[in-house]
Amino acid sequence: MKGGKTVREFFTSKTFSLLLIVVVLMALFTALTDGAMVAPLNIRNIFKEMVIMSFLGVGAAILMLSGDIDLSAGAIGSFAGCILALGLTESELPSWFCYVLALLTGAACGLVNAFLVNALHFQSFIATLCTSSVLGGTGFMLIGGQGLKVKGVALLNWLGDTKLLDGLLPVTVIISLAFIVVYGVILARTRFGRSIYLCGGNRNAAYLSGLYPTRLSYILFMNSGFLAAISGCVYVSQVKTAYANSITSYQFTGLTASILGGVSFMGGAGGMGGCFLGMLVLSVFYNGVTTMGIDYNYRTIFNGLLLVGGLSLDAVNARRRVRQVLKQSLVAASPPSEQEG
Amino acid sequence: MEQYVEFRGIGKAFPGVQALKDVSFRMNGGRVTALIGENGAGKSTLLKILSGDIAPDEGELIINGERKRFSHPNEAIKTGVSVIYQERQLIPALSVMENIFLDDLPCNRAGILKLKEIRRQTREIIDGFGLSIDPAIPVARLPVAYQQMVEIMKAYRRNSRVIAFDEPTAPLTDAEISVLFKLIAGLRDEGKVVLYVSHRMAEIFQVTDDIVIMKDGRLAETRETAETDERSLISAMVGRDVGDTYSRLSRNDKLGDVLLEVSGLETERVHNVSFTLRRGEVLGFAGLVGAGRTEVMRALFGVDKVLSGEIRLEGETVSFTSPRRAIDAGVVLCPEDRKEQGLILPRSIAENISSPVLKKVSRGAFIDRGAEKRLADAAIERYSIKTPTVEKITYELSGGNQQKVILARWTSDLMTTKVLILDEPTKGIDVGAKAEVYQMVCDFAKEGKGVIFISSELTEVLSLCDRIVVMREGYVNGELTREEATEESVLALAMADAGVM
Repeated sequence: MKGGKTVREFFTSKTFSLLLIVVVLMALFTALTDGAMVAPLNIRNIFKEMVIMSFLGVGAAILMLSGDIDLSAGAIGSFAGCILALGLTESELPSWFCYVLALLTGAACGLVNAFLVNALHFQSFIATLCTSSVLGGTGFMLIGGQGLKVKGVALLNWLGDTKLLDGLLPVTVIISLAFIVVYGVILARTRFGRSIYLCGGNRNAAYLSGLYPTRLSYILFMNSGFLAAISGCVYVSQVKTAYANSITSYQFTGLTASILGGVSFMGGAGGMGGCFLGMLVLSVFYNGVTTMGIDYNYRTIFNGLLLVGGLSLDAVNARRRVRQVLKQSLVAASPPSEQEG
Repeated sequence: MEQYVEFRGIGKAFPGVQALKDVSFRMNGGRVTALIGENGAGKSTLLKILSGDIAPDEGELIINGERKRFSHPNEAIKTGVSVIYQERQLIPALSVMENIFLDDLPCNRAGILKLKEIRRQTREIIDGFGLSIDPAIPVARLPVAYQQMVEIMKAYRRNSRVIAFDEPTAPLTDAEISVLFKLIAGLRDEGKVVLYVSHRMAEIFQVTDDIVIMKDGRLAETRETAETDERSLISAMVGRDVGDTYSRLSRNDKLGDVLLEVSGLETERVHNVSFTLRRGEVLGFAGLVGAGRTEVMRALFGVDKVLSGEIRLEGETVSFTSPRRAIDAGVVLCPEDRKEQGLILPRSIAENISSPVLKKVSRGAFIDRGAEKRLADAAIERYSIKTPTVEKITYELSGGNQQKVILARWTSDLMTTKVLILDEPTKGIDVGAKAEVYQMVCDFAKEGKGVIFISSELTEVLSLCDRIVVMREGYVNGELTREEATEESVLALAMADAGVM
């Protein structure tokens, strides 16, 4: 079965174009930075860059596959970070319990989103915009505009700073890659993952095929909140400070990575592999830009441009595919009509 | 000057189907031309080409001697072509007068609307139509019939030279229909080109002068209305092979015991519905659109809430709270709208077929891809679904193959289907695929399944079903055996009070 056609399919695939972008960017920045780009320590930084966005990206991708979007992920994560910081500094609770509390807070916020969407039939875009707004303000109310510094917590330091293999492999990177792999396997191989694709592809038809899209939607919104909270906690662990909007901007990075990776905005199509490559493209880009000494805050420009580039490539490929289908079906349709006439 | 519209060699293809092929005919002003044909014959595609909604792949459209190629509906409107579709193209929140003048609102130099002027002109048009509608009332608050009238006024106001009606009488009552026909006669007498698309034979003889018959995307023939009759029109529309299609079917002739018994079923939409279904039986449900057939099935399948009444499956009382429960008990539904409710279009054939039996193709939490592929391969083999692989996305299949995928989903090797409910399974698929679906229905019956077959095509129901339940406005209005059922007897039950029996 697998012959030349499969090879050609690979070269026109999303995976290939994303890999190509990664390679080209790496080569370009290596040339521009006299090789600093490919130094081992910098490779580590590229993956470190990916950590915060990865949890948000995974959550965003999965929710988008089911046909919804969570614009509150950044706010939920930041809010969970605030809860963590408050617990660690203002209470006597054990530090592991503060982490658990922060993660549960994230899931609870996701539950609220799910309720708004499924019980009150809000568009997920609007529902999560509302919760995002409320959470952002509440976080600010709790810890103020200066942020809340967290010092001398063993678990926090371990999570944020531990690096294995002579400093080349931070714990957070391991965790983030592990999450991507686990979620990738869930999506591609399990019944649960399949139900996400089916419900996202056509919620009504999936329900009539015996699935439970509403139940699934609750799980996925809570999952999105939970992953956002992990993201927020990791941020606080790395930076040792919680802000009311600490990871809000990463939310759009996560979304960008998913879209760039081919996750359909309409639901039902895309996968974790593409999402990971999308994140890799963005990390390489940010890292390269920083290594070259360009202001980090300019990165949103590239964010936008990369997305335009990636999606244009998509549009071209899609049009080519449609043309092929049309051609095939014409060939298939014409013989019988010839006979009739 | 005499007005005319001519189609020359029009062809149009969509993914999976050649919708139109080499269609040529001419419509003259001062005459009403009927366009008839079965579902999928290409009527709506032709209308869309006339209205500039889509561009033909080949051929040309000639209006009053000028070659036209519309790339946007607005160009058609400017040329004087108005197409009045079944789905109303009005903006519900705007008033009648705003809708009527939508594409050409009179303004003063500052761009402010001349509301008084608009109201005065609208008033004139409404009076001319002999109706009583307030020009300022939002369209959403008008009854459907009046919305249709507003649509026609819109075309009239544009002073269109060519006006096409797509099934205009579907939502209208008899009184409103007679008003509409007067209007159409008026347009004809003004020398306009009028195209009239309808399924209703009586109307065609009442209001049209010429008839264009389409079949499978081609022009079958054109006739003058005065020189033909209903019977020969139908045979021209359907083609001679239809009788053969049905007689060639290999039917089930052994009915088993009672499988499904519904008594006094009540939901919000249907009332006191009772019927029985035996093993090996094909039970038809006939009725007009909106008679409640689909709603009965949705209640059976656990989608709509059952308020009262009893459903017994193999003698045991059941009540399904979700499709999942119904499926597990062996009751399945192929819904009416293939693309909205049936298929999960962005996913593959295999994924669509395995969707109700995911547990059975899994080991623990993981899907057994091999088992899934074997299931799907067996299904495409059995139903001769035309595809290179089961990985193909269902979006890319033709209508007939899509329908077969849905049938395959509900009757795959891992399903334990006892009652198979098919809601309009042949809608929008071509004649060849229809014949295959008919044979599948007979095969299901032979396997001892009970099949409920809903269709709005009467010939289909009459030829395929062992018994026919006729519904009207949410009630069962009667039941006929195949021997008793004729087109007339079914229609009488579908349209009249049960007292007529």
